[in-house]
Amino acid sequence: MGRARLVDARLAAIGAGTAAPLIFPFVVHDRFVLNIAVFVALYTIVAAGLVLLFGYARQMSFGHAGFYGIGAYVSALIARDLHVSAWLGIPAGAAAATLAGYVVGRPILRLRGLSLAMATFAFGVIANVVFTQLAVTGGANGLPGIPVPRIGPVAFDTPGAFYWLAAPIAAATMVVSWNIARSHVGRALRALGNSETAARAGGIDAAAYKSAVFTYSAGVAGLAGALYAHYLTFVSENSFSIDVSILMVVMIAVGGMQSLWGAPLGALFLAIVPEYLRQLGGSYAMLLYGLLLTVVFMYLPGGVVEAAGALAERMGRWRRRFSN
Amino acid sequence: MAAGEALQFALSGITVGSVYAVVALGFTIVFNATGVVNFAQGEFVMLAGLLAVWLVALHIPLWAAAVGAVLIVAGVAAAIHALTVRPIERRAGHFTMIMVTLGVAIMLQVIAQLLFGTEAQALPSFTGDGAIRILTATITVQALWILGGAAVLMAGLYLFFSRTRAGQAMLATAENREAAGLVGIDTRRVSLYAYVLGCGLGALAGVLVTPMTAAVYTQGLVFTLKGFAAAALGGFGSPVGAVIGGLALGLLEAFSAGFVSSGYQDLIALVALIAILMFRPGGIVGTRTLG
Repeated sequence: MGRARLVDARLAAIGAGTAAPLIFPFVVHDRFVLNIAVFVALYTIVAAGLVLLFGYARQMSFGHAGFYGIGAYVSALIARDLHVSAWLGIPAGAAAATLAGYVVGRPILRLRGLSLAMATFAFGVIANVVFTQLAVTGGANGLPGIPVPRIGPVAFDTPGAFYWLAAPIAAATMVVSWNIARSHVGRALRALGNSETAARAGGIDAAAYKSAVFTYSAGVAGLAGALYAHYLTFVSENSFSIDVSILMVVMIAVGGMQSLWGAPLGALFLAIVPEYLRQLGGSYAMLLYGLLLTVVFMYLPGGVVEAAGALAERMGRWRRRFSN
Repeated sequence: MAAGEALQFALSGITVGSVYAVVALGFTIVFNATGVVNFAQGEFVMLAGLLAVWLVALHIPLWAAAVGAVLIVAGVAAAIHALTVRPIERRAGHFTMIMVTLGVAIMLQVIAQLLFGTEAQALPSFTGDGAIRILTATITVQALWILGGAAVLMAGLYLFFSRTRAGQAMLATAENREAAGLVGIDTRRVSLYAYVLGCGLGALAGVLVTPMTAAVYTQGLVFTLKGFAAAALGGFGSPVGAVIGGLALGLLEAFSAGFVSSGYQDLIALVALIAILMFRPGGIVGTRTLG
C-alpha cells in the first residue's frame, strides 16, 4: 500500500510538472512573471547539459558562460550582420558552441579534479577577455539591435511570445538529456563518474564519453545563449563573465546534480530568487548563493532534490510508525 | 625593441610577480597543511586592501591601518576556518572543497561590497609618490616597498619553516598527517594556524599592492586565479615553486602587456596556466601533481 502511494505521488508530480508550464501562460499575463518564465526555460536548457556533466560524469566546468557567450555572439552576429533569419542564427550559434566544446573539452578533460576545475575557470576568463577585446563583439559596449525571431507576421518580441519559443526548446532539451541519461551512454557516464579506472577496465572509452558529454553540455549552453541574445536583442560581455559560470554551477548545485529533475528546479531557483531579492538590493541574491553553496555542500551534497527525497522518506516512515 | 623598454617591463613584472608570489605562498601553505585549495584566497587580498582604506579614512595612521587590516583579516580567516574548513578538511573530495570555499569567496565579496561600496579605492603610498630612475627605467617607491616587503616575508617564512618548532610541525603535518599526530603534533591546531597564516599572507599582499592598484570588491577572484596560476606554474605544493611561479607569471604578464596588448595580458597568463597543467603538471620545479 505504502509503495503504491509513493508511485502515485511521483506520477502526480510528473503530471503537474508537465501541465504547469503549459497552462500558466494562459492564466498569467504579467510581463514580470512571464519574463522569469523565459529565464527558467533558458536556464533549464543550460542545466540539462550541466547535470549530465557534473552529476553523471562527475566532471567539473567553471567556464560554461564561455559557451553560452559563443552561442549568443555567433547567433546574434549571423542574424544581425549577415541579415539572415534568426532561425539560421540560433542553430549556428549552438553548432559553434558545440564545436568549441569539443575543441576545448577533448584536450582539457585529460585533467582531473582541481586541475580540471582551474583549467575550465581559465577557459571562462579567456573567453570573456576575447569577448571584451574583439571588435566584432562590440567589446565592452556590447552588441545592440539583434533581430527578433519571427514566423510570418508573428514576432517573438514579448516575454509571453518568447515563452512559446523557449519553453518547448527547454522541454526538448530535457527529453534529449533524459534519453542520454537512460541509454547506455548515461550508464557509461555514471560508471566513469564513480570510478574512471574501473570504467576503463570495463571497456568504456572514458576520454570519448567525457568529451562527448562536455561537448553536449557546451552545445546546449550555446543554444541557450543564442536564444538569450534574440530575446534581449542586446548582449555584452558581462552577461558571459566568470560570475555567470559560477551561477550556473550554483544553479545545479542547489537543484541537485544526481537527477535531471535538478535542472528545472535549479533553473526555477536561479530565475526567481534575484527578481524577488532585487527590492532589497541586487547583491543579497549573491550573498544567498554563496551561503547556499557553502551550506549545500557541507550538509546536503545531493542538492535540494535528494534532500527532499530523504525528507519524504523519513516522513513516510514516521507516518507508517504512527498508523501502526 | 629598445633595451630600456625591456628593463621597464622586467621591473614592473617582478613587482607584480612578487605580489602573486606572496598570494601563491599563502595558497601553498593552506593546501599543504589542510589539503584544501582555498578559493577564497584572493578575497583576503581584496578585503585587506579595502579595510586599510577604510581605517585610513577614520584618521588612523597608515602603518596602524595596514597592521589593523591584516589583523582583522586574520581574525576573519580564523572564524572561516572554524565554520567551513574544519568540518570538511580531510574527508571532503575536491569538488566539495571547491564549492564550499567558492561559496565563502562569494559571501566575502558581497560583504565587502555592502560594507565598502563598489568604488575602487586606493591607499596612499607608504612613503610618498616618488619614483627612482634605474638606467632607462623608473620604479616607484611603492614598488620598492612591495619588493622589499615580499622579500622580507619570504625570508621570514624560510626562517619560520626551518628554525621554529611551529614551522617544523606545519611541515611535518604537510608531509604526513597521521605520523605528525603520532609524534604529538596537534594537527588540528596546525590546520588553523596554517589557514590563518596563508590568508594573512594574502592580506599582506593586499596591503602592499593597494597603494599601487586601487582595491575593488570584485578583484578577489582574479587574485585567486593568478595566485593559483603562479603556484601551478612553479610547482604546486612547493614554496620555492610558488615564488618562482609568481615571478614568472608577473614577467610573462608584463612582457605580453608591453609587446602584445594590455587587454590580452590575462588571456596569456591563463593560457600559460592551461598549458602548464596539461604539459608539465609538476610545474617549473617539478613537484607532485594535483589530483
